[in-house]
Amino acid sequence: MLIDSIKQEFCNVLEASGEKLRIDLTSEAVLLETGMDSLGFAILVTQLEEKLGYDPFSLMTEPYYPKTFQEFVDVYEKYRPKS
Amino acid sequence: MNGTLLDAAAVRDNDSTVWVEPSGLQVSAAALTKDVCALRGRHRLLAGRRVALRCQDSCALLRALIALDGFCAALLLVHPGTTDDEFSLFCETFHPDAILDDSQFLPLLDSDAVLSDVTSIVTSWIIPTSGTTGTPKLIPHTLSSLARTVKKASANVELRWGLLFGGTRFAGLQVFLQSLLGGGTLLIPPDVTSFDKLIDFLVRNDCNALSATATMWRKILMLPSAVRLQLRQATIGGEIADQHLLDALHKMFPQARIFQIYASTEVGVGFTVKDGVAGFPVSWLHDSAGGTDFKVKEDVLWLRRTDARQHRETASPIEIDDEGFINTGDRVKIDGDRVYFLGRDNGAINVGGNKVSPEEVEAVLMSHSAVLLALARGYRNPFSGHIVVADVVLQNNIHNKPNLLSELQALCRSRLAPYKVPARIAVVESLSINESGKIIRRN
Repeated sequence: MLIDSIKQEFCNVLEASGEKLRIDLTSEAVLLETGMDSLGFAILVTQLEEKLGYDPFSLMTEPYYPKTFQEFVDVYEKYRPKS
Repeated sequence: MNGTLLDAAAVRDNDSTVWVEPSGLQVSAAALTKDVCALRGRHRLLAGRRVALRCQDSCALLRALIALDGFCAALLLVHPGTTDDEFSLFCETFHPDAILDDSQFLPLLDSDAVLSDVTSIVTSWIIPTSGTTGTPKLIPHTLSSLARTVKKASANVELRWGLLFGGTRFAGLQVFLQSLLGGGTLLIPPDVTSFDKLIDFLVRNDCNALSATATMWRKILMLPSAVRLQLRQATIGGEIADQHLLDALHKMFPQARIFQIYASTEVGVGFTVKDGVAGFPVSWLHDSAGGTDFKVKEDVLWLRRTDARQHRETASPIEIDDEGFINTGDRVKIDGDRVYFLGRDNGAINVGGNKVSPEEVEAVLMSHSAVLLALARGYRNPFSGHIVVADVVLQNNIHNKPNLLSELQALCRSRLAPYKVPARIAVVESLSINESGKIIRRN
């Protein structure tokens, strides 16, 4: 499942930066309250690109910043390459 | 220096070997002098003219330089590989009276020319920048400005310098001038694609002095044949030398003096660090050293020649402050009693408003025993503008073990601020190196 991959990478990045998850990663979890900072998101997106093979944010024509964890996952769903 | 290159060749002992050609041919001072006098005779109509040299062959180019220095008004040294389009652009600025190539500088074996008493003029040597950052610029030099760092100690007569750079490159010219004016011998290797064969040529010809970029030295260190080089002089220039590299060089060449050359080619200032320690002493910021005054402003190094004779006739805009210091564009950091180079100011990666010198990240990666070369670069990212990513080339005998990348990540995290840590490290087969021997940086 895509959401599981993202969740796992999310936790890896947080752990590597010495932070802890501040709230549960539910669908409604507000990204900025999770303990991840913008550098962390930059790292997360770069590592997800390596893992999944695409970076949805570079594929967007309009800039979009997800606010909740669900919105973040949705972006990855939406731009998932059709196989 | 006073006088011309031909004067310098003519005052050497007749029998001393000025250079060894790729074929193994040893060229003595007497033979070379005779040869270039004949070439000058052949090209006598070029006296006082502007000449573009489009030589591919290093021997032809060096003969051309000795024949035409002090004779032509200006020489444009066109790097091999320059496209016709680029060359046309150069000509729009340079306006050559003649364009000459290798064929005009073949040895004239049957000549018996003597030194004619032409009046020498000061020739302007025009060298294009490497052009890794945009359009190449034409930078004017003179023989005396290029030869400023030449050492004339008597011990240097025994030095046999391997030429690892193209003859038109700034670093290649430095080696050529050091060997010719310093009384040593220049070893001109054949055009080989393999570094191994090149080192083999140098070993066979008793090379004992080499000048190379940090990247080239790292490659030399991994060649099994390199231990056969009995170096007395190892010079690092063009890129930052970290302590790891300096130590490795000292270990492999214990008899060698190790010099780090710092040259800001566009402003005609430079200095040499000889103590085998990375960076330079912080005391130089207060007491000038080697004819240069030092200053650090906003983490950037500024230099001024103490004799205030730096040549300012340059094609590129340079920044000079009220006290006559020139902005080198090199970022430095002061740590204890040492000033360390971080990298080019304009090459910094902007991570969410923080500047990261790729060289600083690379130095940490290369301090790991498995890593031979590293390249850090900015990678576009919607959250921080850019983020650092890195490619590494592993040492010869090291295979990509599963935990190596996480080891490298951990190493970076332990030594660098979080925003400098590469978000992604990839193992690659090789990294591209330009004609000046430096790693090619592209964001």
